[in-house]
Amino acid sequence: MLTRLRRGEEGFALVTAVFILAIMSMLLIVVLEAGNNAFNVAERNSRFTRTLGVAEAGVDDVVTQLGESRLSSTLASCRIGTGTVCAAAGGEYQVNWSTDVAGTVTVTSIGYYPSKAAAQISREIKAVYKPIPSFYYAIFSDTSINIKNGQVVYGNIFANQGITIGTGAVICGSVTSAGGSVITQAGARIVKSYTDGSGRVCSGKTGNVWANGTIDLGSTGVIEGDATASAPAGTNCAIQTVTYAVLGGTVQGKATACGIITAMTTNPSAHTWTAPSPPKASPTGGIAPPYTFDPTNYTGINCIPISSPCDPAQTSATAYQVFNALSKTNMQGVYAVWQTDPHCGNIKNGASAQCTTLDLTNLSVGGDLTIVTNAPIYFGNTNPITSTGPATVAVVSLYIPGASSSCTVNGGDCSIYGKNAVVFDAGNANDPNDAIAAMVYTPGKMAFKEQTNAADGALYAGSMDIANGFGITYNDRISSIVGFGGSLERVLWQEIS
Amino acid sequence: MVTLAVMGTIVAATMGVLFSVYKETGVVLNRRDVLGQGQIAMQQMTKQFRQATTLNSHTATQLDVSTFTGAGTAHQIAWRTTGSSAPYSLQRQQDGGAFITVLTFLTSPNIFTYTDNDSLDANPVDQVGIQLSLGTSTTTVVLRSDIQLRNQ
Repeated sequence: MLTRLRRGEEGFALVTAVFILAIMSMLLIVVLEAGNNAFNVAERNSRFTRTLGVAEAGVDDVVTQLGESRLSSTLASCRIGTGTVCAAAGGEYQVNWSTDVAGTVTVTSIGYYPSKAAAQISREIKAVYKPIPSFYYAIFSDTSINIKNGQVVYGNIFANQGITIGTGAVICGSVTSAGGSVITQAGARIVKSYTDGSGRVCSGKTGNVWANGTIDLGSTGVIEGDATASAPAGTNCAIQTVTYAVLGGTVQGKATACGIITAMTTNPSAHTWTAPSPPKASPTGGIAPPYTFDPTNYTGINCIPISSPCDPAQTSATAYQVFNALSKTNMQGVYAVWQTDPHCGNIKNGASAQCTTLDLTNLSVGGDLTIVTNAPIYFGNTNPITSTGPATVAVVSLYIPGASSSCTVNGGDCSIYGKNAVVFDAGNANDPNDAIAAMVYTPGKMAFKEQTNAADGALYAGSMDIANGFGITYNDRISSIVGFGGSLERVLWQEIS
Repeated sequence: MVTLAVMGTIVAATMGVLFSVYKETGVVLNRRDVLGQGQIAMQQMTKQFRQATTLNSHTATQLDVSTFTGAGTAHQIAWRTTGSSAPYSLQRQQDGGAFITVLTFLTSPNIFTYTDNDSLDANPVDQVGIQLSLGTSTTTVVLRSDIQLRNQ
């Protein structure tokens, strides 16, 4: 009996050991799996982040290609939606971009890990690029500027020659004369903030005046910021009197002059030389920034007379007539008009057989609009220029009249001329994002006759006669118009997935 | 009796091993959970801060930004740490709503550091550093990330 029982217990240790080993193995598996799980999570996070780098490599690639052409049609490979991919460290990417009429480039890039064909992870990013801001002034003239009596300008003013601010006029911003004097007539003011009768608010400006000459405030002119009358290098300020001086009126900030200071101020610094800074817009003169036409900057350009290639050298004697025959109602898009022998004997009476003038009579805007031409431009009976929604309008005339020709408020050989009241619909006075922001630009001559001209945006001209007034309110929507600088800057970066 | 004694010894040893392994498994699982939550929070923060268009306010314990979520929808997002002593909590707020606790294992409330790589521009912050010191049941694990703010 005992022998049988002992024989029955034989091997129990092995069974027990196997049982224990099984339990321990299971526990070991659980521990290893837990550790492996943590590793997998960490590894996936790492791959997720690395794939973002692959997508960013695609964006960087596009930025390089944009330096050559901004038309996405030039993208040869790796286009999203095609079978071709580009390799980057740790994966592959595909890209694409689009360019709108304002020159804004939207880049989309998708990164794949480890490859598009066997993608375990994909990341999509979007980057938006705009031309680097080039326009900082409400009014810019390569020569002199006369501001009409009682006019209110919301924004900074720059001239390479002298600036005269009429009686009672208000400049909410700064005034810079890089090569002349600044003269204010009775009661004119350069202010830091201002609210007009309509409730339009201007604030946060410097109210500074800077001249490479004398600042003459008469008896009642007021500068709320600083006044600086600088002088060319080498000027002996110790002996200067009324030249490079700050004369009359009131300077509420600091007054610094190479000559004397007779303005009322609590912070004078007479006979003090200051460097002529900021310098002239261009060391050799000329309007800045200069405009360079490049058809690859624009998508869907309407080019007259020849669309492909849109070359300023490919002109037509009837280009202006083709353009003038187009409807000006709800106009939008990009128009380039290249005229053979552009000229205008007398623009005073508007477009005529003697002028190769683009006529914008009855213009209304249906979206962003760019008009570029080597011909003169005439704003006809355009009061007001309305829009169906927010729109940026760029009107560029590259026509430069002869040096001896005249362009005044009464007309003449002008690059851009407005006889009747030219009013771009500004929408809500305190909403910078609605209605029209207009850039009217010419390296030639600009003049407006009527007193009720107005716009949100900027006026840039080689010379201008707006002595009858132009109610301009600077709007930085026009600061980045394409064609005035070769570079783009990224304004938005988004991770879509 | 001998068999019972042997079995008792074996069972005791087995139970000892069992409890020991179970305890270690708990440590591993705790570490996994803490790390997992920390990594998820870190990933959310890095993605949101990377796209931030505006830094509304920023301190060592709080960062409030305007950024994008999902496929590019603009939102206000704020992250902050709370608590008077460890463990501190990490909380997230969206569009001015209530703060929601994301994790509760922080051993230090100061998780944000800021760097201005380009003092010439108008942006006071170009880079945000995040350091999450996560207290597990046995040790402190540190997750760190430096984020270049792409929209600054």
